[in-house]
Amino acid sequence: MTRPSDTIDPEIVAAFRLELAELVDALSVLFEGFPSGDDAERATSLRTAARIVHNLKGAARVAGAEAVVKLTHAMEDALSHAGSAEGPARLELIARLFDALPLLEGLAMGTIDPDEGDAATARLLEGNGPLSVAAPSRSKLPASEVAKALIPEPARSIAPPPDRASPISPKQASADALATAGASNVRVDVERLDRLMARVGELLPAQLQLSECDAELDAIQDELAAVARGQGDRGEAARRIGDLAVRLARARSRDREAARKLAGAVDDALDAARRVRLLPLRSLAQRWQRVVRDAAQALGKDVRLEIDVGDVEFDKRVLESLVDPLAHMLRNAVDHGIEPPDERRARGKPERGTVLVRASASGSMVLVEVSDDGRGMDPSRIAAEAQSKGLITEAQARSMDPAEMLALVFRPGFSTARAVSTLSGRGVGLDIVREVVRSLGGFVEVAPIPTLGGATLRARVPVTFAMLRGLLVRVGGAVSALPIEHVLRAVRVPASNLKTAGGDWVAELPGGEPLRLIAPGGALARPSSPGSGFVSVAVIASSGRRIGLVVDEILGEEQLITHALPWNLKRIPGVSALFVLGDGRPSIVLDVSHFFESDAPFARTPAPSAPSTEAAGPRRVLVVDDSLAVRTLVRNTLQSAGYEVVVKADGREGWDALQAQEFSLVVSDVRMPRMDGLELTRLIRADSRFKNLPIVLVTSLDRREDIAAGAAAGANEYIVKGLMDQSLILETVSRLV
Amino acid sequence: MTDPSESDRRERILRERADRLALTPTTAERELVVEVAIVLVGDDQVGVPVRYLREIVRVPPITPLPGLPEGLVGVALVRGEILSVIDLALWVGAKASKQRSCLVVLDGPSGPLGALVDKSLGFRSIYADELATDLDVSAGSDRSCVSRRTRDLCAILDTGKLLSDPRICVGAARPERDAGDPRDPPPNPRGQTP
Repeated sequence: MTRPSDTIDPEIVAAFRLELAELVDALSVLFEGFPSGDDAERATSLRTAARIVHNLKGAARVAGAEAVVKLTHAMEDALSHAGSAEGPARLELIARLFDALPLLEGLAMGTIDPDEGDAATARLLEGNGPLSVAAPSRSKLPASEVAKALIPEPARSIAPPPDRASPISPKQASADALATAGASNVRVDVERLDRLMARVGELLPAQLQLSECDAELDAIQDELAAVARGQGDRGEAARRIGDLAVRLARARSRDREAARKLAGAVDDALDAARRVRLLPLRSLAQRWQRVVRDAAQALGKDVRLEIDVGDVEFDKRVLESLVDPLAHMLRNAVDHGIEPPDERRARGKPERGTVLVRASASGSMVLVEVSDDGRGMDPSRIAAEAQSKGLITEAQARSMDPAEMLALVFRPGFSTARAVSTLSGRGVGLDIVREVVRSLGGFVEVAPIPTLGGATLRARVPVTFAMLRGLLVRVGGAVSALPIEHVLRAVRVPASNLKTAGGDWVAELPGGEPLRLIAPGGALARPSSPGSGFVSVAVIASSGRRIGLVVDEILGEEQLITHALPWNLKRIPGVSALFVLGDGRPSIVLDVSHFFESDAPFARTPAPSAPSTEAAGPRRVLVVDDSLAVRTLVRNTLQSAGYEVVVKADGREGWDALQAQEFSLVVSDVRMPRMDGLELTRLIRADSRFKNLPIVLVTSLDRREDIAAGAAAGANEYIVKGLMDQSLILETVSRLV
Repeated sequence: MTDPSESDRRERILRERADRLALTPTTAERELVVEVAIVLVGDDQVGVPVRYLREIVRVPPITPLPGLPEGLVGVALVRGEILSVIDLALWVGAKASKQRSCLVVLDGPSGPLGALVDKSLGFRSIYADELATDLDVSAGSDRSCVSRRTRDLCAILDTGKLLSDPRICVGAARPERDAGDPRDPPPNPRGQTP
């Protein structure tokens, strides 16, 4: 049997292990919360678990982890049986699946020998005590036998272990609720709902006051009309106008007061609504304890976790996103920071190490620290390690100060572990932590002064964030975003379809009205050959009007975290908000309405001599797969062969990408959340724009029904995950592109 | 005729007084005015009071925004927070430079502000006896946010004034005024910009 790291690209193995750690965490939460769910929740949990296990199997195939493939196959069958089982038998089945998770991790990380793993699996599934890989090996069981062992006899009735059957505390329930894959519910403190109701209730008096003002203004208007009609004598008219002026002044005063109250009440209501979405950081405490306990046990260390996070809260989405980064920071502290007991003894430290999670809020940001009292981080050693891995040159290392050297631990591919270990040191991890925190609009670094004397990683993360779905475009050399709700379509218009009318550029689109074009980045002003090539146009709409925005390049649709403008820049014409690009550069969310204002500086683009041209599209491949390992394998393979690759995590994201960019080929997994590969294939085939777009489906060896369904949907080729290698991918793609 | 002993006594008194006047006052006796981070802006040394100083970082990528007034350079991301960036040279009357390598992050009552400078030189405690009394701090500019200069011509930044200057704001934004720190150097009566 082959261990993952023996023959496969280390990056693929690293991606697989990272993915496995995340998915096992998700399964752990699902199985742990299973007993407390109602029937509908249990059914959802089983479906989600089945999808996760299936993904794990596919990723294991790609990484060459045959033992994991075998175990996940057995787990899939067991989950299938759990769907039809009832009562205690079902709970027992879930409990056994839960207990199989450490085995799954051990097999994937290579800490359990595959042969021993089979035996341990059998022991565990037969209910013969806890897993112990040191126990004598037993004969290997085929996958079908493992599955049988997972499924208890119908007559067996074993109560679930007390810790899983006992009622779940509100805090734990909160953690489980937020951690459940795809959960869209949030448990709300009744007091907060009451506060929200009260704040919304405060809108009513202001509304009433505004209504009264409205009625008074109507009456004044009527009376003014009567005066204008000349009813009554002149003196009487003058007196009535005087009275009306006084009434009008009073009404305006009341109106201003009502508007002020309303604005305050709306702000309060919004704040109360925002608080409803907040969840306490301490709701992750039990998870952290488990992470530290498991990591310490695996490494033979004695570690105590201290938690000092007070009442710090995060928006539910932020907290969900922080689950994995914080778990990795904790594993990192136990693995790399805390020394083994004998080393600590020799250093005069207590054998038991300490890891501390501390958090404090400051305005809209929260500072979260993970500290340990271990050996600390040595900047010189980190720099040497980075140099030996080719991440930096010797000259760069010499010019770095200690803080810059410490920051190298967040570089992709960096690991100071002498050997790849179970927990961290996998070459991926802290760089992913940095990416996730950055994607939330936050920042992570190594603190210059460690809290406990060892090392401290600290992250500044916003309590909440605003999301925006945007079309990224390159305009005038800079990347900007257009709010997707204002984008009707993104098209490449042949330059031959561009005309001039009344001094404007106009595009003739098939079956549509001529479209006026504007070019904020000067894309139309560049010299070029008329009548050749294409221009990229984002068709945007506002208040029932539409316009074509000529851009240098359409980069695709993205979910963006937006930032408000800084405190001293309240309103910048043409800018509605900011977001941060992957390189840390702030960028602009364009205010679409600005393009429709006639006096805007770039609202009109006089027709120059000729439009710009755009070269024929690159060999761009869209890879759609919810498995990080598969995505990494396909992306790396294609990029090394000169293809431009765009990766998306499910069919819906893939479909959105197809609207924004032109692709030469699509490689898609079959089983994915939200929209699977078959549905994506059917959508593509049903759209005349993509009738010639080749589609390659990636499917599991044992899912031949997928192949048949894929053929019916219109896929051109298949790649089987277990057989997937670089040459097969390249050969398939080059044949179709 | 003067008594020789009286003459000696007077001479001794005068000598002792001369010695005492020639002594440099010890730190304990000197009046600390302000502690500053010294940065180089063009050819000038500028002291940024540490009270308002959040940090000094290498210049991150700066994104220009359309329609910003002179003196405002753009926006930058510093530790997860987007802040606007000014060129400090314009606010201390220094010569413009293209050697901006550091961003001074100031913390005001309304929020942070980044200021581009050439170089960070270190920290310094400035005492009352180091302040020049006859130097014009406006440098001929109505924008100058220098409160005092030392005798060795280090300009002390009037950070409170800078952070409450409406010219760093665009749109309806207005800075909050800071109550000030009693330890800030008192403005020089000569040449102080109104």
